[in-house]
Amino acid sequence: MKPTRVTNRIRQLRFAHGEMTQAELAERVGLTRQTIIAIEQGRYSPSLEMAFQIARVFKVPLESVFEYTDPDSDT
Amino acid sequence: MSKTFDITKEMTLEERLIWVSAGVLLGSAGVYWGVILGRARYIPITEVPYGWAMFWSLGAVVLGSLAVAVATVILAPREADQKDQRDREVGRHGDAAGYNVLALGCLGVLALTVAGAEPFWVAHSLYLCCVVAGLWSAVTKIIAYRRGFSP
Repeated sequence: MKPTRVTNRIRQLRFAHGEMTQAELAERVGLTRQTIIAIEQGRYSPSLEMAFQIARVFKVPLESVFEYTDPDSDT
Repeated sequence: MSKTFDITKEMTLEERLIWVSAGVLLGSAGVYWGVILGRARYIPITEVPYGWAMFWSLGAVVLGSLAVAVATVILAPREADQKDQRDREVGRHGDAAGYNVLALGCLGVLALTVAGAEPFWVAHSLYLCCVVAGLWSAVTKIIAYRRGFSP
């Protein structure tokens, strides 16, 4: 089971933005590359502020990057 | 479980320091128990002089961890400055887990003291609490790094 219900599209967005590397994204938002990997893999939920910073890098609204999976939608 | 403790996996500096601290703690405790049990071959274990050995064992953990942290800053100053939000949250999470173990252990030591146990057993119960709490904290942090963490 994943430790968080927050899913994200960071990987797709990185590729859509000139194949931005995890290291480049990490540097732009002040995180380590390993933390970006953990977020992409759903092993870590960033703070709201960090989530906004990531969305800002891709110039998209927050909900275009992160999505909360409704627990009731589980089957 | 094996993936969780795979040390060949890429790690942040903070995670590497946790592995080193846990190793220093285990090594120090191992040497300490080796010395005490070695002395206990000739005299009853409760009569073994342990004060200085315990002092040096705990001192080695503090100084060893400090030396590694200082060496990291000197050898890799850029990496040493990269502690991020996840590192801080994982650190707090692991420290809290360690404090819980320590608090529980201290209650046991208190019970031993009230029951009139010999100073040797009281001191070693406390020593064991410190070692177990340190290891528990380190393992909690490593699991948080490897398997995921939701603050």
